[in-house]
Amino acid sequence: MNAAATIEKAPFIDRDDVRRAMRRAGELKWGLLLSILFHVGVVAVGFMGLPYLKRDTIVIQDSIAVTLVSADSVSENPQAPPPAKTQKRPPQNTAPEPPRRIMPTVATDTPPSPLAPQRPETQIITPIDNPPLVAPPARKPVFEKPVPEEAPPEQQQENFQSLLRNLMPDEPQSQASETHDNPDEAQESSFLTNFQQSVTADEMGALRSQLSGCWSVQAGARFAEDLIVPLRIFVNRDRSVRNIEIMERGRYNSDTFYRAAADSAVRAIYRCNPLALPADKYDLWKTIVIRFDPSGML
Amino acid sequence: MTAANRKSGFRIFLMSFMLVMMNISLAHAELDLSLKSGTIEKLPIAITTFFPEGGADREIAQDMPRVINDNLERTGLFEPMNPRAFIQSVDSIQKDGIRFAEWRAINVQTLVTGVLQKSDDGRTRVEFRLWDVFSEQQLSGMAYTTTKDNWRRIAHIISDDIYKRLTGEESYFDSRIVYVSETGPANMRIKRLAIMDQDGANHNYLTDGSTLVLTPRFSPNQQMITYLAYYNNKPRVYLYDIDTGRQRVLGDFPGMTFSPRFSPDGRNVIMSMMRDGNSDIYIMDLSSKRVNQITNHLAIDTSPSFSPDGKQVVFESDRGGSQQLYVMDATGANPQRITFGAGRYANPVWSPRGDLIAFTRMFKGEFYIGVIRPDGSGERLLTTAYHVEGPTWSPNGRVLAYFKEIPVGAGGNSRQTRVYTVDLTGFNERRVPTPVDGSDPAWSPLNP
Repeated sequence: MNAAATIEKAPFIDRDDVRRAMRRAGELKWGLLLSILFHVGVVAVGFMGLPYLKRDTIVIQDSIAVTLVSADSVSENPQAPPPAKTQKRPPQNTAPEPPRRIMPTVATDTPPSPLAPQRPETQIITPIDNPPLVAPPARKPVFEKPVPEEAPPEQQQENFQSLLRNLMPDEPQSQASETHDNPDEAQESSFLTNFQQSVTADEMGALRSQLSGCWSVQAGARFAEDLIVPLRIFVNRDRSVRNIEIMERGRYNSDTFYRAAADSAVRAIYRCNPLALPADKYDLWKTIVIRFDPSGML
Repeated sequence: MTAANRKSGFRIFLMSFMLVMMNISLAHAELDLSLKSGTIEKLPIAITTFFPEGGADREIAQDMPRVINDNLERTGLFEPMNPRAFIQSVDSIQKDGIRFAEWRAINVQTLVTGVLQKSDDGRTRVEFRLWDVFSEQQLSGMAYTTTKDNWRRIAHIISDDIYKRLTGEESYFDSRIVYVSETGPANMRIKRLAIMDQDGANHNYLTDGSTLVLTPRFSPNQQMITYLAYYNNKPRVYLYDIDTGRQRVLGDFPGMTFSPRFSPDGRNVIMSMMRDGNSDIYIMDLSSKRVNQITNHLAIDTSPSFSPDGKQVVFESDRGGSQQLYVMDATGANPQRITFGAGRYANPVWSPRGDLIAFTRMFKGEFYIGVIRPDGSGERLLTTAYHVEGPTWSPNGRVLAYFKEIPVGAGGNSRQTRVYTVDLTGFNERRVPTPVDGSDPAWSPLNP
């Protein structure tokens, strides 16, 4: 009886024990898995550091790489270019310069004496119908400030002043962006960068190395130390260049050295089209400011 | 509403406001990147033959692009493409317009096209356009009308325009070189003044070789050349009028006069004069003929050259014990020694852009052409040979012409003297073709 009871009980106990053991084993398995995962994680962090933090460190060290310019600071910047400026170079800007020396007429049909050279009549010819390579970019809504139909007098005064500010040259804008060497600025920008997804130093390096190969610099160019050309590049989602804005337009039109340098920079961008940019971070690179700086090369 | 509710409402508002602002700022962030390295390379340029329209000269339509091609190639800054590599034909450019993709495909960055027309009065109209192949924009466009025979000059003017547009710098192709042409054996050398375009074309002799001539220099307006001639074995400074071909001696001085140069305004000639066995520097006003002595030293002072603003003069002197270069005010005040290197320095000449002084240096039996800043810093030697001498600046101050003498023939007994150019990088030395031997080149300003 005892034996029978034992026999009868044993499987029950056994089943119970087995069930319990299985349950415990299951619990243990989860715990073990969790523990393994945790340990692997800790070891990985130990080896590689927190990936996010490490990337940030690089951004701080290589603070030239990324500067986030917030939209409100752009729109409130008195020197921010009006939307019209973002359009393709207008034809009159590519019009040839006036000739250096113009002789009114050379009427004689006699052969010119080699000892007294004869100056030909000179005439500037305008560009032939010359459609731009890419369509001008859409107006950037961020720049558009609705003007109230009836502004109070004091506000009118302020509007006028802000208009005056908008008409002023671009330098402070570029100065503001050029301060990325300042450690405080760099930290601030890297803070913003940390907050969201960032373009990594590697990704910036890829773009830099691509552009370096496309940028032809002529040896012995004069005044190279002053010839830093900032360009604002508007990029499509497929990484192709939509438009290029020469940011220091006034200097482009007045300084022949600057104009040659800027044209060469624009050529470099088009030569590298489409740009080597990380496909998943469009919001970060849909407009890029690139400063072509030959000062260290010549 | 309770105060607590109002407070939490305000907090929610503040938080959502901050989120919105952050979104805006991140949505319109700009990536900002500095690019400090590029590729130092020659700019690939395609120069098509010009399209002859309505009876225009086909030969000139071929030759003009060739002259432009050679001008740009010699600068060392451009790489003109071989026309055999061109995909699109000149006819097709005229008919269909430029297919930029086909030019990009052969790695061209800039393109030159042109049209030649015969105008109603029988003259020739040349139209050229310079294109940026990548941005597909016209960078420059000019039309020139002149007689057919003047085509070379137009080719130089077009070259100047292309050079200036693509480098930003003033150019130098529409300019000439006067030099001393030499023939005959060493002891019976016949030396004649000759003039040519900077590329060696349009060569002409100015003097007949009956008198020995040396050191010709252009006046700023190119109407005059001043030089040294041995007439009746007496060395004197002369003036040559290019338009009339007339020569006259400059002033009647008791001693011999030599190494003349015009002042930048062309009104004065600065030169050396030998008196009682000593040489000093004098300035002569060409209209009043008045002469001013500006150095008075027992040492030999010679080879003066004005700075482009006319305020200073560089010259060579052995007042410090060896032949070195000095800079002084044009009045003769404040002479400062600027060279201190071993050997001797000679023939200083101030660059037309003012930043450098070129010179000849002799050291351990070798000759060098070099440049130095007017304050005596940054000396650089650009070229060397058995004998190189007499540098002269291109109108834009980027290139130097000089002459080079090398021993030739059996045992190196005879000498060959040729005119060369080198740019400021020192890596681009080119010979300027002359019919016979040539020395003492002087580069003109740009043609008026």
